[in-house]
Amino acid sequence: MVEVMGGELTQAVQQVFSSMFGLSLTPSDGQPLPNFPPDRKVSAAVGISGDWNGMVLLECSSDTACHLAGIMMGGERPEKVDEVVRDVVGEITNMVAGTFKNSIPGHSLLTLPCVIEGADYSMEIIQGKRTCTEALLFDGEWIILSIVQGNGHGRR
Amino acid sequence: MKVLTVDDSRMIRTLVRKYLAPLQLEILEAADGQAGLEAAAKEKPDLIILDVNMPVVNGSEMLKLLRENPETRDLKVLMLTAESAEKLVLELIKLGISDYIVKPFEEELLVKKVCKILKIDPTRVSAENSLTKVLVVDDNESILLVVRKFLAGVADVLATSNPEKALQLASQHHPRVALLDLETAGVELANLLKREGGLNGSRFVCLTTRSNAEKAERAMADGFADVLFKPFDKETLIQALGV
Repeated sequence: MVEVMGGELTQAVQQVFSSMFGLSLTPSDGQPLPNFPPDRKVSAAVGISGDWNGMVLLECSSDTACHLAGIMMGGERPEKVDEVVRDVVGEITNMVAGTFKNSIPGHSLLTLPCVIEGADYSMEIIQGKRTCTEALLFDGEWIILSIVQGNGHGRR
Repeated sequence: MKVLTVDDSRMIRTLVRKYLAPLQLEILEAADGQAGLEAAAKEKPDLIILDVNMPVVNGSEMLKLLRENPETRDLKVLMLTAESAEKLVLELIKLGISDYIVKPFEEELLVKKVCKILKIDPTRVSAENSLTKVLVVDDNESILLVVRKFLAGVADVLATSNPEKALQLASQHHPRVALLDLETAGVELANLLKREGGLNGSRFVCLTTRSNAEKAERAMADGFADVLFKPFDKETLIQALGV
């Protein structure tokens, strides 16, 4: 199994935020992770399938998701999570997963993003496990990235 | 000239439209490969900007079908996708693409590649249609966000907390105005941007607090055109920058 390095994940998300938003993300440096209120959380997942199997998971608060949508779309910040906000969070995760995938050897492809609101859910890859979590901040707002790695290998 | 953007992400379609606006192209949109095929057959765009991972019909399949149809066989295609798997890229090249951009992407790269494919001279792009580019450097992300918000629709903001990135942005985008936080950047960065970033003719405004008024005065003597004190409102910001 390919060892997943948190450094590559951090670099991937920093590259996406820098290129697309002009924003710098700083590592949380061991600060305790936030507990997002159950109805105020947005998560997005993009799968990677092939020689390496797993998933990139992004979690943030609803406020942060709306904030990012406001910056990205160049208009007023949405007051609540809507189709635009879900699209922005999904696409960010898509780009992070694509960038992160470049650090994995072999041939793998991305899936379409899946975006979930709320926290009353559990998500797992069969025989998979969360192998790393990186928490970053911009302007005091949290972006939490995780890798959930599957146990098997794809077809070669 | 017509450009068709095919991407299931509204964010990407919006960004492409915004970045290509100065080129005065007619921008069409489709949210999946099936809609893309229909639009391509109907509109015969001069260029299709195409994502790979999409619902209904994905980008690879759409490209294959474009090439099988005599009416759309020769349409130019620029791939814009987060997917960069080597085998896939080779397959797409075999089907015939003009170029490939991997997301995330910067505005300048997209514009450069579109100009090259469509044989548009980028220096002839109408300056009237472009917002003034303003470079903002401050290590406080809140300030960067406030400036973006105040200048939305007024100027094209290039914001960074990193002085090294500021030099890169200056070289790439040639902003006409630079707003530099005195503590983060200061006179040294201003001189570097003029010397190596090509901003000799740009307007430099320093950003600081009133308690630093003396330092701001010295900065004005060293080449800054104006000083903006924090906190500031939208009107004062726009006036100081001259946009």
